[in-house]
Amino acid sequence: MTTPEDRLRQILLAEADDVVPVGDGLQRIQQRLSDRRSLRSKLIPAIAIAGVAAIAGAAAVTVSLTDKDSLKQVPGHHPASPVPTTCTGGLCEEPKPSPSLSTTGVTTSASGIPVWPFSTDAQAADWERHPGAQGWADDPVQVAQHLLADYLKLPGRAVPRTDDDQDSAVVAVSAAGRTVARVRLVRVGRDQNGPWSVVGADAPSLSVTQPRDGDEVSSPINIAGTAADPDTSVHVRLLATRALGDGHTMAGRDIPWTHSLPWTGSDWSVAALVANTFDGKGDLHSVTITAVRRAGSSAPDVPAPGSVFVAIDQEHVVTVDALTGKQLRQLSYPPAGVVDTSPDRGGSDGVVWVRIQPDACTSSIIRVGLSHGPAGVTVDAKPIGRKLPSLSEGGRSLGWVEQPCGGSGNTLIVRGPDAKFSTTATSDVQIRDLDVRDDGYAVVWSENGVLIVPPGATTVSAGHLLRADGCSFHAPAWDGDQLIAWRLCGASWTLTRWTAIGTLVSASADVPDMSAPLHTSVDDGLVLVSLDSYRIPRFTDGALVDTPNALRWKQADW
Amino acid sequence: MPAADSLTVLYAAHYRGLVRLAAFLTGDRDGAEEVVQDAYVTVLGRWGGLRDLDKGEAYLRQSVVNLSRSRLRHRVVVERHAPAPMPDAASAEAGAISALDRSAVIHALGELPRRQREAIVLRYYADLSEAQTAHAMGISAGAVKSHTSRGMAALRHLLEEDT
Repeated sequence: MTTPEDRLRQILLAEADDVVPVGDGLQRIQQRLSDRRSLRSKLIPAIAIAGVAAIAGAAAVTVSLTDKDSLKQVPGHHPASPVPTTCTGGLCEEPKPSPSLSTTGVTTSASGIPVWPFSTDAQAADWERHPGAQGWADDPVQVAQHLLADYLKLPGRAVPRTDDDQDSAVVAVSAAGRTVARVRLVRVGRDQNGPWSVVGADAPSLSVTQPRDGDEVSSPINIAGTAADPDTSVHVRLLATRALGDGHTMAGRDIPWTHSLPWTGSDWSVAALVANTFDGKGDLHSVTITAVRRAGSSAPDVPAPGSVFVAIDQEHVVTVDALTGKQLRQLSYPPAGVVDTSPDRGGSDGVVWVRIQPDACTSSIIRVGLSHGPAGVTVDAKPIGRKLPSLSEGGRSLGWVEQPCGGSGNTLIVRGPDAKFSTTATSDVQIRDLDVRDDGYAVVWSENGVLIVPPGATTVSAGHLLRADGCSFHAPAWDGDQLIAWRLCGASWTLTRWTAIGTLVSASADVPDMSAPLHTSVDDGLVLVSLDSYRIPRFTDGALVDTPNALRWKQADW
Repeated sequence: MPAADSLTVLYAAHYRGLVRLAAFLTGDRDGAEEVVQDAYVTVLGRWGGLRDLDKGEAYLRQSVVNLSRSRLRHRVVVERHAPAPMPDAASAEAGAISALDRSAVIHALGELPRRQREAIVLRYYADLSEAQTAHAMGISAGAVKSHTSRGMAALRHLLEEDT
């Protein structure tokens, strides 16, 4: 007879079999021990010298070398982060034994394309292992200072920052007593200890309007911009690891300036387009940096449709291979006490999610690109509870639901196509899920059912309600052409399809093995659904096909 | 034995098992490897190295337990600030696991108080004696017996609730 203890042993052993180390643990430990010994070899003479000096100062000092805690902080070492173990959809890294980081892509949890001093995950990982002479890269102000001195060869002083954001920074640069640039930086790499890298810079009196951040360029680059000062000579350069192109043009106050900049070389993928001016006294007056990509250098690492979903693991956003159930990449690194939730994919490679501050209410909406493309919209942090962010299929509309801190009631917010208008619609019932369309319509699932809410509506209840006698509709999604929603009639679940104005188009046969859906998403016609039974199956050929390891994630969307 | 050889021996013999132990203790499979790597660095990086290889497993296990506790403490701080679930956003966790299956047991295990979970995992997964468990947890054998007994009772209760 099997005792409860025996049964427990069997279950624990079976569960343990599913826990498979990545396989590079030995190398990681060896590296860390090596770093540690290296530090000790440096510390011993230093401590000895300090001891001698102290003794020479007639003070009886005993220096303990046995306190292991004194050696815990190893400069340049940072904890290992979860690494993907498979390759799918162009997002993954090389499999075990050692994670090979992308030499072309880069992971950031803020917007922009890092151009200097790190533009790939591999470079960031190298820095984490061996900061070497670039130890300053853990401080955005120092990075900005080195940017001027080492990379741009320009005078100027980086001003200490006043914010303390963990993922992004804006550092002002001053010269001759005035601000000449605001350098934007993001933390790069695959953990929260990654180095900082420059993604761009703006200037008060000079701007580049073409190309824009993230644009692909070919030679020559047709550059356009504006200047606030009369008769200004603009120096434009294209810089990667070396200078690729160099030119000058004249600009006048409020008159757009243009320049055609030829460049050479094909050994780069990301570069900084730098424009700067000097004033009549020869002092630096303005600097801008635009991050550009070489046309045809590499296709963005956008996953194949219907292969990768975003989800929440613990309190951060990750990407997951739906076919293998392997976690591919960690997209967000919220600071301690901060929680990321409700990720949603939209646009060609966009992801949005809500970031909730430690007061458990103040929230912002963050948007990044799955590839190293630029991010677009960020909804500022305010003392308002936000949830259910939704980015439309073409990335033109963004919606979410708001609730006052400590209050009740839901308000639907939709920033319509290209943020040209905004819908603010109140709801007297709780909104369960939301999807927005490129045309600014919102598909809302509330306690009243599934509604199509037009732009400009002031109440959610004014929307068009999907109806069917004796049935209810659940977890809707917009696939770009049609609305889909799960229909429950009696105990039977079917997947229904509707036109944009809410006319029934088709219904599937009864879906076997279905339970209550929480959220549905569609990618290129392929349906993924989160069920209340912890499953995250795809709906394929009239049946549900489970994602392995689905227990691990929640709030899946693709 | 040189430290490098000690590492190789201890890694081959215990790494995988310790990762699994840490996964149970922390409920975090990814983080489990970091915990265990930290434990190896801590034990083998001590000044003078590890003198008695035979005690390596016990040292490592004890270190894994301690580091797992630290990780859980950190997580508690983070979760303390997590938002209360919105009433209309039913999470995946809201669904009850109805069957008395492996998932339910693992889920229930994660619900136990830390010491009860440690005692059960060390006793029934690592298959340690009460004395060995007591050493790993830094408590008395009597306390191990108590935590194990209470943990088993709590597991039964949690599983009955689920069903």
